[in-house]
Order: sequence, then C-alpha cells, then structure tokens
Amino acid sequence: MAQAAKKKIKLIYWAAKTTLILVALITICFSVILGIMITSYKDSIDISKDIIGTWDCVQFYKNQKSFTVSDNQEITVTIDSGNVKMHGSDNASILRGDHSGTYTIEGGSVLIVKMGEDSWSCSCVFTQDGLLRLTISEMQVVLYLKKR
Amino acid sequence: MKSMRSFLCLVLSCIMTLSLAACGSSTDFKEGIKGTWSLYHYYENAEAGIDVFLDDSNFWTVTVTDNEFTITAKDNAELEENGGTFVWTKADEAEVTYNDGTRCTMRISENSKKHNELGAWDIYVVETNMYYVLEIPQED
Repeated sequence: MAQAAKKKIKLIYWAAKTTLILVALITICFSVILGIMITSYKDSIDISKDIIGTWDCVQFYKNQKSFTVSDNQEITVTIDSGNVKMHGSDNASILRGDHSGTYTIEGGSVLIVKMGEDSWSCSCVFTQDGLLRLTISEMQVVLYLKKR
Repeated sequence: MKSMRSFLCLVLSCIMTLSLAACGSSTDFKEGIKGTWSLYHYYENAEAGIDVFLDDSNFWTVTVTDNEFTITAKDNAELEENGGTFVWTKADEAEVTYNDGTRCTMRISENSKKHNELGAWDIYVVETNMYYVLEIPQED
C-alpha cells in the first residue's frame, strides 16, 4: 500500500517536473518569437509615412510590356497626406498632363485612389533598394518609382 | 509508472519528429533553382495559358547561381545573351534586375510535370503575367 502511494507521488512529481520544463521551454520560445516579431514590426515600413514625397517613374509596365522612362521624358507621382498628383510630360508614354486626386490607405499597403469619377486600387511594395512599386490593376499598369 | 513514462516520452518524440519533418519538408527554392536549365517554352498570359514554343535550334539556356543568372540563346547566328541579379524577398519570390536595369518580380513554384516530364520549375513574372518553364537539360 505504502509502495503504491510512493509510486503515485513519484509519478506526480515527475509529471509536475516535466510540465514545468515544458512550460519553461514554451515560454522561452514564445519570448524569442515575440521579440523577433516586435523587432521586425519596429523595422517594418510604414506605408502611410514612407510613400509621402515626389517620385520619379524610372520604369513601367503597360499591358504586360516593359518600358523604360527615357531621360527626356518625365513621369512623376507626388503623394502628400491624402492627396496624389500625377504628371506626365507631353512626350511621356503614359499619364500625359496633370492628374490630381485623393487617396485612402486600405489593408496596410493598398491605396484607393479617386481621380474624378475613376477609382483605382494601387498596391504598394518597397523594393530592397528603396524603389516604390505601384501596381494599378485596373489600368494594367505597374510603376517603378524612385524618390526624388 | 515506467510504462507511463515511456508512453509520454514516445508521444513527445513523435510530436517533435513530426514538427521537424513539417519544417524540413517545404521546398527550398533558393537551393533548388541553382544550376543550368533549358527553356523551351513559356506561357503567355498565365490565365489564358497560350503556349509559346521556342525553336529547337534556338532554345534558351538559363544558368542560376546564388544571386545572378544568365540567359543564353542556343542559335549562334542570333546569339542573345541576357541576365542579371536577383534578391530573394520571400521564400518563393525574388526581385530581379536585368543587366539593362529593367526590373521585375518573379515567383517560383515546382512544375507539376503534367505536360512535361523534364519540367522542373515554373517561373511566374508578376508584371507580365507570364510563366516560364525551366526544364532539366537533355543530353545531346
């Protein structure tokens, strides 16, 4: 009887010890993951701030074909707290003239741009070397923009 | 008590082994893509799936290293060399810069081998909506 009770206590002790070790391991792993997540969140790009400024288009895709913006052409996009302006020189391949509108940010990286009666959704991605890739699916246009 | 311990140890070992197996089983595109491949055909407009075949005498050879690639046409009369560099941004996505400065985004996936036994990797160019099939080179 005493033997059985001893065995039971030993089992409970072992189970408690194992559980504690597992909990400690899970806590360490969780803390490491949380630390990495917080660090990457701090380092992550804040679209609402980082897109503000004047951008020169260096390359664009129109209808799945690539075009380089040559030196004598000018295609610029100016983004400033809720307002967006697009300008294309008279000899520009796309976006000739001036276009103005407003934008709101949706889902962290998508701009909903309203220009007159038109509404576009533009997804923003920053490349590794700081270019802004703007994909306007409604127009089948992808712009690679370089900050001025 | 011993059998209980053994059982618990077995359960824990199984969970850890399965977790490790799940981690290790995902395809390593970064390593997989390295090497020399033949490019005989591609799909214009991924959704429409129009097959474009390159002439046997003019197929392309694609050589990929850690962060560079070169594309060489086989036809000596119109030898066309192209290539560039790439940076991985996701496990299956890379930003590509060609030698002439042109940029694009490429996604890689495993070829289903449904249409071609030699197909190894599908390369999807996001901006142009095209699929390129990299195939294992055939022996001459």
